[in-house]
Amino acid sequence: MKLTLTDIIKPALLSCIVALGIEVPLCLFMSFYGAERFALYLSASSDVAKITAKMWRSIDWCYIFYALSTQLATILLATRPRWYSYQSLVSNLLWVLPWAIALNQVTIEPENAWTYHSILFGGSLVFSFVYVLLVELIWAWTLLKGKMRLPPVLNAS
Amino acid sequence: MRPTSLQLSAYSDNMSPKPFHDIAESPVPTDEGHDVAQDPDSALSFWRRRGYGGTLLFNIAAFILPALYATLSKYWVASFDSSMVATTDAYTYIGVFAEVLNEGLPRAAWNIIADRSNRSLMARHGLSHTLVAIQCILGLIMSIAFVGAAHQFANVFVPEKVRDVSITYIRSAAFSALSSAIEVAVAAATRSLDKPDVPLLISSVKFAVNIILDMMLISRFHIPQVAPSVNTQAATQLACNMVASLAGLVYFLVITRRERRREGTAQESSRPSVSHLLVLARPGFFTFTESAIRNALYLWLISGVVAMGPDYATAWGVFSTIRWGLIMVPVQALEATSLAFVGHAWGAWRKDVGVLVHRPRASLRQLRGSFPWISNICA
Repeated sequence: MKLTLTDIIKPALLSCIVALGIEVPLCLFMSFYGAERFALYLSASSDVAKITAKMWRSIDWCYIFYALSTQLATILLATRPRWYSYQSLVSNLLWVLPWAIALNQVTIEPENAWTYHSILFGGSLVFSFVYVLLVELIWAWTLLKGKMRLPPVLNAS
Repeated sequence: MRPTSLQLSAYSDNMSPKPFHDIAESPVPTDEGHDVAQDPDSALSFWRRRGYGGTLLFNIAAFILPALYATLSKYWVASFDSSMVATTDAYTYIGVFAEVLNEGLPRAAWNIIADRSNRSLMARHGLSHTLVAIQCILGLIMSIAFVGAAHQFANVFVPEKVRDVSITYIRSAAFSALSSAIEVAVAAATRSLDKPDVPLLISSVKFAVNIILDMMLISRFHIPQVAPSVNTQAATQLACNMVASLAGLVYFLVITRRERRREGTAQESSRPSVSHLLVLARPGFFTFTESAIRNALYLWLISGVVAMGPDYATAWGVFSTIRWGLIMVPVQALEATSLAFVGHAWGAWRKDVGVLVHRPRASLRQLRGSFPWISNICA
C-alpha cells in the first residue's frame, strides 16, 4: 500500500478535532462560572481572584487557538524539526519581540497594564495559530510538488 | 506564547506500575505501520496501547495526575503566608530554564526515535539511552548552577518583600531541573517507542509519594515534630520528583533490556554512543535554539508583570496555574499522542518513497487499496 500525505497528517487532524470538542466547552464554563471561584480557592484573596477573572474573560478564548496550533505544529516537529523551529522563531520575532520592545518604551501603570499584556499574550496565541497554518500549507505544497529537499535518514539500520 | 513550565516540566508526566506484558510486542521492528494498516481488526488495534486511542488514554492519565495533585493539594497543605505565593512562582521560573533544556534534544525524539520503519529496535534503544544519559548530565550541571546563583535569581524574579526568605526555597527548587530533565527525556523516548506506560508510572509514583509525604510533613494534620513551611514543601517536592523520575528511569531500562533479551540481540548497539548523539543533535540543535529564544522573551515579559505589584503578579500566576493545570491536560495528551503517530507515519512514508530520494513527491490520494479511515492511524 502506498502511503499518502493524508496518512502523515491524520493523527494531528484527529487531535485537533478532539481538542476543539473539549476546550471550547471548558473555556465557556470557566469564563462564565468557574474562573473567579477557582482563583479564589487558589489565592484566598478576592482582589486577586477579581483580577484573574478579568484576565480569564479577556484572553482565555485565545487558548483555543493555542490548543489547535499545538496539534498542528506536531506535524512540523515530528517530520521537519527545522521547519518547526523556524516557524516558531519567526512567529516570536514578528509578534512578541516588537511588543516586548514597545512595552519597554512606554510607562505602563498597574491600572492599564492588562490592556497591553492581554494583546501581547493573547494576540501571540492567535497570531501563531494563523502562522502555523500558513507554514503547514507551504509544507504540504512543497511535498506534493516534490520540491522539499529532505535530509538523509542518518545511521538508518 | 507558551508560558509553560512548572506545570509542564516540573510536575509533568506520570503513572502506575504496569506489569511486563508490554514486552511481548514487536519482534519485528520494521515496517509496522504497514502491517497494522492491513490488520483487519483495525478498530481494535486503535484502542490498544500501541494504537492512537490507547496511547491517548495512557497520556491523559499521565498528564492528569500531576495537575490533579496541584489542584487538590491546596485542601490539605497548611496555608502559608500568602505573600509567599510569589516565592513559589520562583519555582515556575526555574521551570522555564529547565524547559529550554527539556525542549532541546528530547523533542528530536519524535523525528528520530519514533521512526520505526527505518531504524531497528536496537538502534532506537541506543538513541533513547543516549538521549537520557546526556539530559541527566546537562540537568545536573544546570541544578548546580542554580544553587550557586540563587541570590541573583531572586533579585530578578521575586518581589522585594519576600526576597530574603526565598533563597532556601530556590536552592531546593533548583534540583527540580535535574529531576525534570530525567523525567522529560524518559517520557519522550518511551512515548516514541510506544511505551506510554512508562510516563504513566512516573506520574503515578510522584502522585502517591507526594500525597504520603504531604500528609506526614505539611498537611494540616502533620507529624507534630515538624514545623511546616514553604521550604518544607520545596523539600517534599524535590523528594517526590527525584523518586518518581528515578523509578521511571529504572523501569524504562528494565523493560527495554527485556525486550532486547527476547530478541537475543547483542547489547552493544543499544548503549549510549557519540554517533547516536550526533544523530539526535542535528534536529536537537534547532529545537533547543527555538526554545531558548522563546523562553528568553517570555522571562523578559514576566519581569514586566512582576513589576506591576504583588496582586497583579499573583493574579497572573493564578491565571497561569489554572490555565496550565487541569484545563491543559487534554491538549498536552493529544499533542504527545499526535507527535508519536505523525513520527511513525513520516518514517513509514519515507521508507515508502525511498530514504535515499532527496526530493520525494507525496501524493494526496491512494492509488490502490482502500482501507478504513482509521486504519492508518491506529498503530
